[in-house]
Amino acid sequence: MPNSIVSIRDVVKEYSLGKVVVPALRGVSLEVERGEFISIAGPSGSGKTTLLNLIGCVDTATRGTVEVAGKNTSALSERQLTQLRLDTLGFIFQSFNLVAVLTVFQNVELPLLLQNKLGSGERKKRVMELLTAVGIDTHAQHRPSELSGGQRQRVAIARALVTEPQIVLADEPTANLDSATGEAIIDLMKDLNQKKGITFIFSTHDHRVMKHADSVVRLADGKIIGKESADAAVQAALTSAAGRSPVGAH
Amino acid sequence: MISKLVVLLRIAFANLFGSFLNFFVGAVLFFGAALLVVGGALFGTLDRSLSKSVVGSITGHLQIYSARSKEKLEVYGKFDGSDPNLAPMENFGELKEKLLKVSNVKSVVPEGTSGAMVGSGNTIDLTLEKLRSLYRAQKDGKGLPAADFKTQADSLKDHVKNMVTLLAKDMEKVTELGTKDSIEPEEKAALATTSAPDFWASFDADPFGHLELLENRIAPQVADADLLFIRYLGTDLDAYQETFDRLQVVEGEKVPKGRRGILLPRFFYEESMKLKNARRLDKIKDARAAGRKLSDESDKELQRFQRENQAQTREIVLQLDGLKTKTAVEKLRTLLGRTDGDLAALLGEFFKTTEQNFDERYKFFYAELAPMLSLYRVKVGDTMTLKSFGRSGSLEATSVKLYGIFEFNGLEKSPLAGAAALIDMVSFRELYGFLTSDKAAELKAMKEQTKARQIDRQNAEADLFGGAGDDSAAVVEAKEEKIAEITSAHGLRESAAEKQARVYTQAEIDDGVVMHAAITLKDGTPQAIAATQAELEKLFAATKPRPDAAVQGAVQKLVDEKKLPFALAQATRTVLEGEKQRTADPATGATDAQLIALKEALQGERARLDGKVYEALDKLLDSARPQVWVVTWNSAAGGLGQFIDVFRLILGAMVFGFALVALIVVTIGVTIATLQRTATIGTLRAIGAQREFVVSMVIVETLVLALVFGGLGALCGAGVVMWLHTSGIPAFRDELYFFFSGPSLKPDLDLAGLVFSIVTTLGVSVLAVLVPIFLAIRVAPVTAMQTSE
Repeated sequence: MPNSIVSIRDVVKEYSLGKVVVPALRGVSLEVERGEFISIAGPSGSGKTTLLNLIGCVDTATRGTVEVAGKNTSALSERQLTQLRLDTLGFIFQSFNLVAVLTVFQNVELPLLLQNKLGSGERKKRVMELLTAVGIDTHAQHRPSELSGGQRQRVAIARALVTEPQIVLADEPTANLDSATGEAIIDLMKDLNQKKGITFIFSTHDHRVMKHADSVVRLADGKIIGKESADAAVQAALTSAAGRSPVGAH
Repeated sequence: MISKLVVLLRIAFANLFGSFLNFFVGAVLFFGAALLVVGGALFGTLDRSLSKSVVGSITGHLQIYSARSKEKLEVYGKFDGSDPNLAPMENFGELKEKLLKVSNVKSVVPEGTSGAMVGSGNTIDLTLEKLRSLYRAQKDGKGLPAADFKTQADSLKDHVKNMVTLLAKDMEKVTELGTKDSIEPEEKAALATTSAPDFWASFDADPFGHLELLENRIAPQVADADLLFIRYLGTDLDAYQETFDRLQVVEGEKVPKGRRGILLPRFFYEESMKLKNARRLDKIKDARAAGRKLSDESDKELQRFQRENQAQTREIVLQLDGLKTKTAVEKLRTLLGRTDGDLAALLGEFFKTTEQNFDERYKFFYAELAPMLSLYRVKVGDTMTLKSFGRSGSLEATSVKLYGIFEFNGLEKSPLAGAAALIDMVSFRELYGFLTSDKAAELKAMKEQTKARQIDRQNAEADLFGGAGDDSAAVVEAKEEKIAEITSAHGLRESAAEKQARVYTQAEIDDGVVMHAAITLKDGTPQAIAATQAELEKLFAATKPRPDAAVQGAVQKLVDEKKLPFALAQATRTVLEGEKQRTADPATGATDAQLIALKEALQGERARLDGKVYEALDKLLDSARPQVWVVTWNSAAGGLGQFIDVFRLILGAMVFGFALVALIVVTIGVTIATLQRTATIGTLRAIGAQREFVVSMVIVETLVLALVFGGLGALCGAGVVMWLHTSGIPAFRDELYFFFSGPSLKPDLDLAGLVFSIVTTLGVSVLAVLVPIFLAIRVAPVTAMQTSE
């Protein structure tokens, strides 16, 4: 069994806007090892989300190969891709994307119900364990609208982990949170990564989040400009920011 | 599967009250479902009530009539009030026997509707007759003591004098109005003569000469009780009374078995035969009992009754002779506190009723005045002379005893149920101009007695009177009288009294022609009616001529060459198809309804059709039709039966309207809801929900919405229906009694209707989700990454 959980080779992704073809990724290749806690960094429009979409099987490459958990996504049907997402991937969205009409418990239980593998008792046990793990168990019967941003993101993390996926994808998971909450969320993700061995791939352009990653893939203009350690990436990010702003990096 | 359903239901119920949009969509479904339940119950009950009224009072479940009839059977008459042109059915007895062998047939009642004039004699006629009898008796030495005679004669003369005076006043008014040219000079002269004091001073010198002048010149000018038109249903009265058991004789008695006689409907008796002022007082009393007020100026009807009662007192004035007039004047003066005023003026004041004095005046009228008056033109036990134009146009007359007044249970106030009198079959046949067994015997005897040539009834008249050129009513009547005179002189014709005393056997009642017949069934459900109709059609299929290939070929050619208008061509094709089938199997063929439809279409197009084309189609009909048509009660009820179709049409329109509105609203509502939830759908897709899950989500949500709101609406509608059933919708107009089959409509809650409304709501909702589903399945999982919460 190869150690790469995600293997991307020479991937090009182009969007058509009328007659104009806009390239989002221009020949990207990337290997992600199992259990990695990896960050995809880069400025807005650099292709971070596009790359995550391809890894998350919610979009397909124009050219090149994307392999997730050993499966070539371009060879899978729509139905198989959906099943792959349900069984292998967990998603944490920038805007949490919880179902507003369901309670915290029901939101987290939702993927299990879609999987239809566990009985009611087991489902309840697993959901409560996760809610406890993310520190939101006391709010199980609350609606998302009754929670703070950080609490909602914790619910989203629990939902992403409830099916015990091999990979969790997080798109700017701290973008809508204050810095302290953001830090706490990243700590939580890191903790789960270490305890459960789940691969985390998250996009961010925030160097304070970036520093928690094992490694950082840096994107610019649809190309990977380097895969480096978190410290190096943070430094590079700070330098880049200082170059753009006379006030200096924040 | 179950776990997914749990999620779907969870989301559906959670979304149910999640938005204003759902409330709006839900409200439409709620009111629509409630409307369907209430509307369905109302129209369903109206349908049943009307059918109960029609079936239970005249038509039975099925009707048969001659297939040779020129027009369709319409038992209540045609739209213009005339009767349809039906061909008579011969040998009813045989027909009845044949029909009674069919297992579901309970009874067969012969019927025939027509109209006649009833002459009850006007007031002056009646008074003059009394006066003539009084003088004749005195002349013959069989009269009263001189003093009593003088009192009575003077009273009657005063009565006639009063009437003449009133007529003279009328004449003055007519002259003032400038319409004097319309008055015959002889009438004017006679009125001048008879209103002069000399005329009355010389009366006793030549009473019969004076009476003749009054009878010939004055009586015809008084139109207070002229001929009255009455519709009647000729029938086997015993069978009718047994079959239509809602009939109740409320005054008098049933016509004894086998006797000739007439029963009048109470509604007609009250409306047309009662003294108008009394009738209006009754109506005012009913209106007040219903909460209406005489003081209400906006109540046009009550105000009209008041006005008419005050202005139209002549009928009472004319009825009262001198003595009674005096008594009435005294009583009225006492009541009104007056010391002067004649009867007309006092009556005018008496009928100025108010909320305060009405009860007292009503009581006074019936206690003090009514005993002196003839409240009804004809009383139970009287003999009525009916005159009618028979089928050949000749004036026929017969006298029948009025045995009783009837009404149909629950339809007491219905003008429709009370529209036709019931008359025995023998009298009906006489009035319709059919050769009854009596008349046949009469003519046979006449022939033998007078040693005449071979003559029939019409020729007999011609032979006796030298030609039948003048058919005017007066001449016909004179001829009738002459025949009666001759036949009575020879002992050939039964007198009216003998006819009334005679008891006819069932065979005599049955053996003869009838116009149509009501068939009542043991099982009268719509399905059983249809099945029995089909069975009877098969029974009469044997009376159809053999299929004619040549006729079929000629008509087929017309159809092929497209020479027929569209509707006629359609009807023709159906009948042709049936005839071709019948050629192979005599038990098959076009149904009566299809043949009648062709006949109707052919009649409708007759003016536009080429003569030869018409002839060919008529021949096809001739070769295809049986002896009699078998039609359902609603078809036989004609225009009235079409109300049922109108009810069904309204109900259908309601269902369609609701379905359309609901379809539009639900489609828009669910579409907007789907568009608003693109992010949720995208998220669900991203986290692993398949497309069918999303489709199911939209469907389940809509169904839950429809089930909850539609179900609540249906239950609410059911509650309204149950409340209406308990309280009843009152028949606020007399006409509605017939539609409601009683004084109020009590809608029945129909479980099928309840289920239908919910199923319709669900069905419409399922249709309405097509667009939202199309949109929902197009939401890509990547949407989840692009949207904010």
